[in-house]
Amino acid sequence: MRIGRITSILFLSVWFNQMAWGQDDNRIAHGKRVFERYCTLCHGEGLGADGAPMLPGTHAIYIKYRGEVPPLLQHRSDVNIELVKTVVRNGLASMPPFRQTEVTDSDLEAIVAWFDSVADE
Amino acid sequence: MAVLPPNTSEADFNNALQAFAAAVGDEWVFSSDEDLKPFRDHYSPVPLEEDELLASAAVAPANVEEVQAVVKVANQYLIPLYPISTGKNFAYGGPAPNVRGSVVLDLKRMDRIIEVNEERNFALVEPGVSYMDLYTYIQERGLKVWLDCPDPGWGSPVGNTLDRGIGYTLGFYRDHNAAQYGLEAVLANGDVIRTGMGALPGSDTWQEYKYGFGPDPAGMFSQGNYGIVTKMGIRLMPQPAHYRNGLVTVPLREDLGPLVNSINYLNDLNMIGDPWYGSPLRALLDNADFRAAATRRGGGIAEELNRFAREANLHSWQVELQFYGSERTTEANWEYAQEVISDRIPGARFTAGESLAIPLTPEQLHETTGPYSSNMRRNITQGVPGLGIWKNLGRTQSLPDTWAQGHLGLFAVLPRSAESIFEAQQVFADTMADLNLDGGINALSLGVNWYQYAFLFSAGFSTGGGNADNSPAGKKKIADGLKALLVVAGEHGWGEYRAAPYFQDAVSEQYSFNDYSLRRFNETIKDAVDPNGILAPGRGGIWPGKSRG
Ligand SMILES: Cc1cc2nc3c(=O)[nH]c(=O)nc-3n(C[C@H](O)[C@H](O)[C@H](O)COP(=O)(O)OP(=O)(O)OC[C@H]3O[C@@H](n4cnc5c(N)ncnc54)[C@H](O)[C@@H]3O)c2cc1C
Ligand code: HEC
Repeated sequence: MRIGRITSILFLSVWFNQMAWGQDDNRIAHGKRVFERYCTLCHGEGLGADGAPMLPGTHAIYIKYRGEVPPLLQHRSDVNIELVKTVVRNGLASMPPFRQTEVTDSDLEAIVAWFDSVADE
Repeated sequence: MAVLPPNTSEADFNNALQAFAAAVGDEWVFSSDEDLKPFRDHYSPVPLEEDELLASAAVAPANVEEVQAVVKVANQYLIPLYPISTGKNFAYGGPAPNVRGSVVLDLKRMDRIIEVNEERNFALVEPGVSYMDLYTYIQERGLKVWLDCPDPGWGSPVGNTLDRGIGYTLGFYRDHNAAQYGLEAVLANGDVIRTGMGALPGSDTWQEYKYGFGPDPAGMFSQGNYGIVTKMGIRLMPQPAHYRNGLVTVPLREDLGPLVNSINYLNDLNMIGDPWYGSPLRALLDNADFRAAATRRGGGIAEELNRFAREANLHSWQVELQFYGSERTTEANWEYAQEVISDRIPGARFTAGESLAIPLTPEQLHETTGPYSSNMRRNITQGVPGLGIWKNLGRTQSLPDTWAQGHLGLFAVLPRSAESIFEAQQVFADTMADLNLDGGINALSLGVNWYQYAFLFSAGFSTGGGNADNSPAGKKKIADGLKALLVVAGEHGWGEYRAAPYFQDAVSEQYSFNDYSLRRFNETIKDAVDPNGILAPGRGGIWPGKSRG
């Protein structure tokens, strides 16, 4: 009996773990999707429009920190949920704010989860 | 910072919030200071927080029935609602209402793309669908239709059209209100109407014949406050096979007249896309003598400016032309444009631009080198939405701790003629000098031809951090200056095409024919269809009876 119980606890914990992993994967994928829909037009990689060397959000961060932090948000280790919420809800300099009907607070958490997963790589 | 709707007690407001929550669900009613921050206008010209056009709450329905339920509550508590679609109307008010304390009706959650038809070239969408969303949908399915986008791709066909926004491809599509083909709206009494063929049950032509039978009120929802638009049809441009552009320059200041006339001719035969006017003489503005000549009080003097042009071996004016069609038709149109212009203007020069198969590759979209240094912007001429225009805002390498946050400005509607441009240069520049404002207007300023049949002449200022204009006093100076300017413009017969809520009454004031008979007509309709005055009071300068006194 003892063995059986341990097995089933082990089994259950593995199962829960997998479920949590599955949820994390979903959350990360969701975060990436929301970021692509609402943020990459300014914070993406590659050239900006009409001769700009970078997209506007990426470029602003590059200029602001004198190139000392990676200009892509997902490559930075110092971008946490507090910063993202504050900036996204208040706007910052030339970046206007976003409403909950565009990106919910849980979308923002998913975005940060995606940032973290990329920074880990 | 919490504000209440006008003439509403806190108790009534709380009851109304509960009723809104019953209509749309608790999580879609926003009333805390924290939740309401992003409903502020990031570009607000209103200098002081006490006057800022703040919302008291926001409500976000998911469908037409929920919109109807919200309208019912607003009527019960006499609370003004301010509908927005994607709410990105920066420079014209953002998501913020005309009346402080209004409840913003945020339609972003209604974001279904109901149909995109690539044989008959139209789309039917809900308010929350952004240009970007619609573009992605079209690309994912490989459909051969184009959008005509405004510069910011995060706005929506519905919201942009309802403020009479503009784009950058062929004339008909650039005028978004013209390309609107049939809409559905919830009225203040909760009724749902469909315009044009949408009123005929079983018709399949709602997006193909916009008029139906009898008066077509669809246009009254643009810059108006007669209803909440819940669906809109728009015409789409079939994807052309080929794109070509070319540059025209003309030597003398007085050549602007025949140049504008030639472009009007080509434009109105639908042979060209958006023509972009400019002046090669801008290169001389750093020269103090030239600058003095170009900013001379009373306007530029042709003889003097022509001499500078001759000495610098520069032409006075330029226009960049674009052509959509096949490789051969675009070539023929470019040749014909040269014929039309050289017939009228001796010494006109022509430089062929690029000739590209559509769709352009990403590399071609980013390419900025060409046969001539171009001010033509790629994404928007190809119907590709983006936010690249934000490169004109924010920080710059040379001033990394200063940024342009936004801008404040107006666009006056002018006749498509050189005389009107010369007159506007002088009137705007001299008035700004009187107001002690540097609006950058001089004897080289030109109109934009976004609307095919008129010029828009801009007076604009950027506002930002690290810059004195970011202070409340700086913004107030600009806002007051713009109000004074639009009165002077009105005296010359020039009105604004669009304005932020802060300026709407002042703009409406200029449209005064026959003792404001048009506005009185609009007010009569307002009182009839919205007797409680709950829908966007003040929008377009139209106030309900109770506010007119
Ligand atoms: C840098 C910059 C460049 C810009 N370039 C352009 C440009 O090229 N072309 C252009 O047109 N604009 C331009 N704009 C202005 C503006 O950003 C866009 O017009 C934008 O598309 C408007 O926002 P929106 O589409 O989200 O409309 P919304 O903000 O959703 O709507 C605009 C207004 O229409 C009314 N409205 C919206 N939806 C409804 C509804 N369903 N029922 C009833 N009334 C409604 C409301 O009064 C609302 O405030 C620019 C702005 C900036 C800052
Ligand atoms: C219109 C372009 C634009 C869009 C869209 C945009 N941003 Fe930004 N963002 C900027 C700019 C510009 C800055 C730099 C602000 C400055 O100059 O201080 C910025 C800064 C930020 C910062 C702060 C970085 C720092 O260290 O200062 C965060 C976090 C951020 N953005 C997150 C987001 C997220 C998340 C989204 C999508 C929901 C988003 N942004 C969408 C333009 C944009």
